[in-house]
Amino acid sequence: MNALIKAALNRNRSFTEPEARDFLSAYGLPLAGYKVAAHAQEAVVAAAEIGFPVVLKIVSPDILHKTDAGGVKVGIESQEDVIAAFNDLIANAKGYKGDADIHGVMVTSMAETGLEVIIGAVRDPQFGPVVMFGLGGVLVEIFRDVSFRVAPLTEVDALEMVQEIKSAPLLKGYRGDSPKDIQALAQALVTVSQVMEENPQIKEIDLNPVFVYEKGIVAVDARVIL
Amino acid sequence: MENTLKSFFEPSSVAVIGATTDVGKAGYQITQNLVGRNFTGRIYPVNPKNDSIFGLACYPSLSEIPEPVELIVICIPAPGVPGVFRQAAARGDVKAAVIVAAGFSETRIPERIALEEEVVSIAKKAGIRVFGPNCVGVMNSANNLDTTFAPPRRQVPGSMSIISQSGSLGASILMFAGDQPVPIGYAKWAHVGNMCDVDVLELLKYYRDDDQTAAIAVYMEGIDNAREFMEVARDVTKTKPIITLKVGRSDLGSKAAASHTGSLAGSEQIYEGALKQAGVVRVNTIEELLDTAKALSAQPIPRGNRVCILTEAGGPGIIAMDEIGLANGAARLATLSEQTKDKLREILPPMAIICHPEGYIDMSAAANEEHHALALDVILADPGVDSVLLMSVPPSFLEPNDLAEAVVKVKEKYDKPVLTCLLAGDWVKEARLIMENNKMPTFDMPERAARALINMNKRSAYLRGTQNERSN
Repeated sequence: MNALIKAALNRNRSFTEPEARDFLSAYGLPLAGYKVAAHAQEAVVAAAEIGFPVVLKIVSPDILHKTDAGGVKVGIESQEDVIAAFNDLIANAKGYKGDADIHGVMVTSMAETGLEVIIGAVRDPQFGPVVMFGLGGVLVEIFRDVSFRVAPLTEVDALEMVQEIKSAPLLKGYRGDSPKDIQALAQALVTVSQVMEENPQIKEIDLNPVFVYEKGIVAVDARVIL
Repeated sequence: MENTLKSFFEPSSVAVIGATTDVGKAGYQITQNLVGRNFTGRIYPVNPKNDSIFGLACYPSLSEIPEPVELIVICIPAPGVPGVFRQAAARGDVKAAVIVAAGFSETRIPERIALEEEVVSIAKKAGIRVFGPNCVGVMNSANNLDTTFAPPRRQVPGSMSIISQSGSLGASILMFAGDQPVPIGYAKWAHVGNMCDVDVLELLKYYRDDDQTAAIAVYMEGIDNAREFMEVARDVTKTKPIITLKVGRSDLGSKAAASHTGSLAGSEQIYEGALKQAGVVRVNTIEELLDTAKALSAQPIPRGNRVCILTEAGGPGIIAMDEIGLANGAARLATLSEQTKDKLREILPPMAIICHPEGYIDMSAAANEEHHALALDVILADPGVDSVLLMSVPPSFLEPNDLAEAVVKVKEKYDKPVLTCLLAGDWVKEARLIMENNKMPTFDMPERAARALINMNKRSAYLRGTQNERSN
């Protein structure tokens, strides 16, 4: 069993976002680097190293839905704002759940906005590991414009699932917009399929949103449920 | 596992346990279906209360039939079934059993589950394969075998084989098929009920290896061994098409889940992806199931998705074009070469509309049988065309049979699929038969022909993906 998974399971919990990033990055999934700061001053140093603007997120195994807990601050441009954001995040987390185990605050670079998609995986009681692709962002659960395939995925499967969603024209360069990197998406889907196959302890994976560019993709948030 | 199911479909003899003269009972209808449809093997009714049924000698028990028995059909109440199996085991010649009786594991009552287990254990030891319980069994159009109690219907031999997870729906599919203006035939048919032994997967494999079966139609409600199903389906669809009517579309199944993905993963969405992945063509209606199976079992697979619509009337042509337009790229209108267009201008009446839009030819009502045939010839010869939808509403001055004979001669020169829609009811009935008998599937409505062709294109796309890029 993977050491990170073992460690989390020993504590009877899922991955925090930094753990999810480490774990998935090792498979080659595109996630930006980060630093976890225990104090506001550490966060300032981390932000300076990474380069502004940055994103700050609370790191706590007890807070799965960070946005609901006021646990995410984006587009932070200055040292003073880093300090203010750090303090807000800690206060919000304590307000949301008094006894939350807080590991610190994650500092990461602010990705350039791209077309938002979602890549995910679950274990279906009948089909076993299945991989999902869809148009991402806040509308994902309204439009449910998603496609599924059963793992293991071939590249053909992955390309098909990318191209069969209703919003696929957006990926191909809609109304003068540049065509997006479908190949990189397909590769990520195949990798997620491999992650599910190799790690039976993982119940669900969410990469949401994933920004898709003309060249390359970046997952902005990662969630791994054990 | 060589031909393990052969004894179900091609038995030399059938014993009906529970055959009766009581019209209200399944045992009456089953015996009547076997006798009335002229099953080519021997039939042995078994019932201690009768000496003869339908003019056949009736035996008091299975043990007392003096000649070899290959298949038994059991239509007595559930508690008596283990006893029948013990007799079958003792005889040693019974190879297969259809348990029509219900009241086993499907009731979820522990004693009834145990009863089924008892049957399975006797059967296994004796090497008897089992259909059911709670099933109506098998039909085979080649030897007129019919173990069901389905109402009378036309028995039309064909090359599509059916698996149904509903006995009554499965039977009505055949009735609907037989009642079509040009009846759609079948090769083999099976309903497996509780699947205590033979299951859908084994049937798929049997049909894959069956020479009479060219296409497999499945009515599916759900499957337990989903991953194994995918493996088998993937293998079967390499050589034969599987078309499925999978019900349960409305299930959004948003169960409580910690992730977005989890909340979006309804069983319907997953089935949709899984069936595609396994190369199974999914359809929405019984009509589409039969039309697609008919087209796929009688026509070569299109090499690409470029369709030419050749029509004698505007309306049907436009309906077909709408279907192609809504097919999400599974099919598209072909681009004809300039040479082809020049030839069409030469051949067709002056009022013909050629390639407006591209790939669409309205020959006009002035088109006679020769126009139809010449135009079809030129279009099929164009390398930019992979398949043709031929549509005609023969007017009173166009003899439908002449039309049919003229196009059949052209079609047989080419290895490309042509689906034909003749829309004039009884006026074209004979003409359609001429075409069907010459491997040209016909349809009575343009959208039916178009959808069947789109589904052929889906299969073609899958096979091309499989051949080029799929590793397994």
